[in-house]
Amino acid sequence: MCFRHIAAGLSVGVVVLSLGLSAWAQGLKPPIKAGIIGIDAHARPWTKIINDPKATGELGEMTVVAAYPGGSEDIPQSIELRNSAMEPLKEAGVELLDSIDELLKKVDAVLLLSIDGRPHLEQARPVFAAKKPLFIDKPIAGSLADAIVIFRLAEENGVPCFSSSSLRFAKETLGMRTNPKIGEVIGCDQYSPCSLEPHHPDFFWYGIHGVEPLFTIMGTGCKSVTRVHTEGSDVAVGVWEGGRIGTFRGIRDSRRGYGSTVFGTKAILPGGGFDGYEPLIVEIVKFFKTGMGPVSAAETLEIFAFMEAADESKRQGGRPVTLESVMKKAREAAAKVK
Amino acid sequence: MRFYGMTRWLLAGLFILVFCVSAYAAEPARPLKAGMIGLDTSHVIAFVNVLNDPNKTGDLAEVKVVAGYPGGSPDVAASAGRVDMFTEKLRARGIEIVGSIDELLKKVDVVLLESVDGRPHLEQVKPVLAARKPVFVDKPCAGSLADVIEIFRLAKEHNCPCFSSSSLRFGPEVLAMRTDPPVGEVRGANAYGPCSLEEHHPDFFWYGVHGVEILFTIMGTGCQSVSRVQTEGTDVAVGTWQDGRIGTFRGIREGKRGYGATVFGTKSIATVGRSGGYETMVVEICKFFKTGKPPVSAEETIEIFAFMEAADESKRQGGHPVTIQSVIEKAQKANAAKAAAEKK
Repeated sequence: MCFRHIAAGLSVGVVVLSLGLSAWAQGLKPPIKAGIIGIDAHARPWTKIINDPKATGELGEMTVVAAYPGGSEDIPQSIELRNSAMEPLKEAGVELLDSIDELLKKVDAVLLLSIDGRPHLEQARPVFAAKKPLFIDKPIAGSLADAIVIFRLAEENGVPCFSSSSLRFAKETLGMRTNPKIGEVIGCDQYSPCSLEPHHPDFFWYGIHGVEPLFTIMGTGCKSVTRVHTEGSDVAVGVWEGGRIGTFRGIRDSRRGYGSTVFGTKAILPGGGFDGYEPLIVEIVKFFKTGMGPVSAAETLEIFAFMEAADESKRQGGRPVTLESVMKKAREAAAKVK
Repeated sequence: MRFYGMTRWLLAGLFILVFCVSAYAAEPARPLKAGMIGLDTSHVIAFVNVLNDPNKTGDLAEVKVVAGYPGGSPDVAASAGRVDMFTEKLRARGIEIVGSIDELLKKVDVVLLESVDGRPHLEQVKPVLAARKPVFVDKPCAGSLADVIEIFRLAKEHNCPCFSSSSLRFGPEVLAMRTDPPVGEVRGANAYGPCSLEEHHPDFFWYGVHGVEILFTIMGTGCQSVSRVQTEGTDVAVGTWQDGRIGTFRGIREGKRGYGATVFGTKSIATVGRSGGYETMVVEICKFFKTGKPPVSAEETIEIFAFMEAADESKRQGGHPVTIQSVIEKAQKANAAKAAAEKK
């Protein structure tokens, strides 16, 4: 009886596993037809790079063929950017469509680029249902709970999915952990611009561009966050397992810029800045081809837990807040979402 | 009438001349004779190397170390284990070693208080201030914020020139961020430095002060509160200034040691490293001895030590922000209580 149950369980597991593998073991074969959901952010500059007839390597293996404009009426920047992107996208050969369902019929893979994180979950659902591999631009969602649901749905549907800021892929940032000059990374002070948007937790909107490289350099394992906030600046201090400390400084009232100081066992070195969008887009094409994302769901969720904990610390007057406490709350909220 | 007017001007001129000459005559001859208190730090050798070098010109040629009082702290290994060695090295350089601070004060015009341990600084500086000998107090200014405040109160009471600083303030790149920042207006800074601990001192007093001094040189005064995060290998203290600017100090215990800062300005973001050795500070000390004008105000040094004291208090409170004002008030109360007890 017991043996039969185990055997049944095992065979179900094997079937599920092989289904997942069979769908994506090969990945997509170029040329890849990509569709964009949300043209109110990176759609315009990225399409220019991707659809450039002179593009080579991975960039030459994908074409943006269709887009669903989307847009958030309560974010002026969204509407402005969406409207100004329509004509240039059409000129670049992109068909603008009225629904995500229509889009999914025409494409092999999807770039979810809506500037607003809040609609990402609902916009991702039909993509998962259609089993199209999905890249989600930053911020992955408007809440940590939504981010958890997104990765759960991706797993349930056996659909490859990842999310990242392009700042992760700056050469000196991505290579820091394996840079023999730094030795082992003991700490990092990272900075980026940090404009705020009233519908998003503070760092989700823009600060993510500094938090993502902080995690790229430090790795996962952050336990708690202490936040200091003023009108013009933010500083969030994270303590990692083993006592390493990583900080993020968000800039609002001075010169914008991206960078870091990395503290290693062998040296103190500057980390990377912004190397353009190409390195991320190359990773996205590779991901569509292999079904393997360059950033794990666990790491992306930790990044968003860090940012959520930073908001919670601010609410608590600057007290340290554990990532586990905000994850627990978000998991409970996510469990209620189908 | 005209004659009378001219006489008046002549008399006034003569008076000014006599005044100037007499003031000049009251000034000690150059080079100024300097005495060192506390021969238990490598600074004494480094400073003597600069000050007593016959090839030096300018300000450095106008001060010579002539005498030293060894001092030393038996309960601080870095002191007890090295005071004899440094003392012998100075003796070999022709510097007279004396048995008391009072004896030292009879032989010198100005004083360098060098003791590596901040705790005895207040008692060691008292006779110097009473004798009105201009004094440089090496880092840390004292072993407690209360003592720092008391040192500057006594200096003011005796009208005796006194300042304290880490040499890291005077690195040309760091100092330029204060005097003529190439980044535009400074809106924030992340400073870092080594941060070894010594059990008798508040955490940052012993070594972290070098990085905190860099932070304040760049940011200026006006810090309101401090939040502290500490692990075994690293410290981060985040200060909020009254105008909403944020300055941070990272203390390094694990990993590669080094000094530096990233400065966030209205025009650009720039990094500064350590530049210049002790000599730039020693030049400032010589100028101070000659003019009586300190390059760092008492208010700034007190705020730096209040920042470090608040960082310790924040650690005790589990990382909660602690105001500079609260630790200063606490230190003032402690001093008042001590003064009242001494009166009894």
